[in-house]
Amino acid sequence: MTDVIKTKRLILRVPTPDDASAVAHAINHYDVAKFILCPHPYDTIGARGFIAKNAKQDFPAYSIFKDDQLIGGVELCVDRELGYWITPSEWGNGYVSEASNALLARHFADPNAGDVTSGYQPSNLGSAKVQVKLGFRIESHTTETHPTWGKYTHENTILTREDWMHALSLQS
Amino acid sequence: MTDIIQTNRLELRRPVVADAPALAVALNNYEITKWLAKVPNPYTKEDALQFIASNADKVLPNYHIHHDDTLIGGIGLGGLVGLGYWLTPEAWGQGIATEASAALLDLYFQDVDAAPISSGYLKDNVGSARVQEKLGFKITGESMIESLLLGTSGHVDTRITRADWIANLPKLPEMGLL
Repeated sequence: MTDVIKTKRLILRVPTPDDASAVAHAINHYDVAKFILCPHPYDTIGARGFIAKNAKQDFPAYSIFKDDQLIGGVELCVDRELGYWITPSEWGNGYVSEASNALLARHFADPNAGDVTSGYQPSNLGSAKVQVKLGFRIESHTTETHPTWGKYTHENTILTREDWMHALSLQS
Repeated sequence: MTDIIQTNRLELRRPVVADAPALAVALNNYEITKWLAKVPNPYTKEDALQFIASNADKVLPNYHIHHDDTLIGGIGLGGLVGLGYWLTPEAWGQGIATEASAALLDLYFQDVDAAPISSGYLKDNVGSARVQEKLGFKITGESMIESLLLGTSGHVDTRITRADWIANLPKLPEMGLL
């Protein structure tokens, strides 16, 4: 899928090799890395590797652009798991919800579409708010160990089509 | 914290000296101050000025609650009591205290290491009890306090931790607060 998705304020498109330095620049923040458990520091070489791999996916991740500036990423991957990140200077503006809703709308356009899963670390208030807003419910709670980031806890969440549509009706 | 906090219906602003007359009019009301242990009645412009001056340099300042440019209440997280608020009676029963409190708590709990916030209410204040329940506060006990207007009074002590706040988030969308 190499399409471009337009939302009210954002453009989502699959990153190309030309976006590598912008991806690296936007993601290279400890406060992003600790929550998405990516390498830190994160450089252009790492971004190139991600972009090449991502381009071959059936359900690739999208970069989030605001005014032509790359500010984050969002994906709804093949196993229907939602993931996202946004560069810290753009937090608190509802961009993750807006971008996620665009992918969820496409997914749930099919009335028989399966549930979407996601999750967040309990210390990540921003992410918890996004998921509550989108209609996700906590399903379980796990403690996992990451090779570089060590032990972390995770709220595992799930979103049904019905809950998503209800949540959408509550969003202004 | 910032000088102006915008919510769906309200604007929370740092009190300024020019607010003194409006504050004195709004808070000079026994029906409000009977629930506030340390606010005198009558409440004069002098009291208002003193409060505004004392608020100037606080880390967790008090805010005035404005609706359509009218001062309708006050709120703060700092000080010994923790979360405290008041509203003019016309503003009661519309979820306004909940909306203003949620905005302050949301900012406050952005900090991963934010300490718990205490609050509470005089026993018969069902409106305030409801606000705190909706926000996810938990009752920690009961105590007797000295109220300027009511004398020794029964008080319900409450508290909210950052984890409580996050656990309560799913209730907010139904209240139009996320």
